[in-house]
Amino acid sequence: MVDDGNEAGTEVAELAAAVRRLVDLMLRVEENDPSLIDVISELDAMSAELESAQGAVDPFENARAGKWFFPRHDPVSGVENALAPPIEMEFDEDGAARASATFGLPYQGPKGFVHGGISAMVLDHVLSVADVSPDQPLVTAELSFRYESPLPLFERAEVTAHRVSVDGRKVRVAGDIRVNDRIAVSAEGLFIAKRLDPMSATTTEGASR
Amino acid sequence: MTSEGPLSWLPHPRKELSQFTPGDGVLTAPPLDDPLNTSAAALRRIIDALARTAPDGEHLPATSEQLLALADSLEKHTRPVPTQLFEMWQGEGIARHDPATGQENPMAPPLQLFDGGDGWAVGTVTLGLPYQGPPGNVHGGICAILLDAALAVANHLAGTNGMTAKLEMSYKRPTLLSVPLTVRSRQLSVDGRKRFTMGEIVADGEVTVSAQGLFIARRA
Repeated sequence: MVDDGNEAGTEVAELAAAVRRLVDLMLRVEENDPSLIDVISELDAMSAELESAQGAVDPFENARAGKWFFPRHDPVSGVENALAPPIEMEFDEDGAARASATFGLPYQGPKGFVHGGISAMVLDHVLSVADVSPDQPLVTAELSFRYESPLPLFERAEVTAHRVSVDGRKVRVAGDIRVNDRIAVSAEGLFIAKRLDPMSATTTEGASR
Repeated sequence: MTSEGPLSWLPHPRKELSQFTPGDGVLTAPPLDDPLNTSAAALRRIIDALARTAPDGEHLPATSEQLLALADSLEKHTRPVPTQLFEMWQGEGIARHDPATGQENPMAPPLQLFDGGDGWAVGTVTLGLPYQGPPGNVHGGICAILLDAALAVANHLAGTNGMTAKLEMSYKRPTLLSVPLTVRSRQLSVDGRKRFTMGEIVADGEVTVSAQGLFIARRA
């Protein structure tokens, strides 16, 4: 079955959602709040339980690393990754990618605004999946970002990306992040169609197929 | 030293530790031994453990309920967002909550940067599965946020700050998970309100990703 990236129903996705909520709350707690002591011991106990259940399994294998298309574990759209906002993605009939997200305190850069690096991370991800086919994943080669206006926290941000041109394995993609139809950050990217194999990732060209 | 009172120059004790001036060795907020830093580290651990967990394990649903109960009880101890948006910026130090370098942000690896001399800000970080993009490799967007943050720190080090206006990233070779990565950055030049800054990620002696940024300072 091909994951559509939007099924949040698995246990790991539920756990990630709970941890994501804790991450958000953690940024609003005073540094010496006594309630944190219990949080630390409970979290450590749960981590130990999860870690012991993993045994000697190869971490890459366990992370379902081979699922390229709509991964559930990536740090941007992965419902199973507590780092991910996560952004919700969909695709137009013409292949253009659309995503939306509302960023909270963990994603803050300047006071009240989304971190410039977070905008870059989200755009990189959405650009890399625009008009992509499952058997030809894209690897980032070059990215250029223009920060046109500040991107506020707590407002619905809309991200779009579309393919500009394809020249052999070179794919050019453009996109932007907007709030209330105003462009906050625009991006252009050059991607290379290439599949990186986790087991041969130690060599550059040896990884391509 | 100041006209605001005899002790007003004393920084907030917590913020003092996150401050730096050019010449200080540490350029990012150092870890502290307080409950919040320890909690952030505990959350980092469970985020990593989750990334290594196979789906549908038998013991998982109970853990999810425990986590939600924990969140419910923690929520009672949180400040409202508007209050925290003000409080978290008190003091003159570097943000301890930054998503790349912040010790108190569980999202951050966190990247610690030091004064490497000659204007370089330098740090080493090893990234695990939560930061994965292509199989076995660091997500390109994670490289972008680490470099954007490192460029900002290099601007701090040079003593001339600014907001990101343009950022150009060049991905030269795969950046691997689970190996030590050196992140280094340096301000190249200043032209009026414009600051030109570069940075790169180096693994095993080779540059995997390089970045160039244009930052604009606020009007004086």
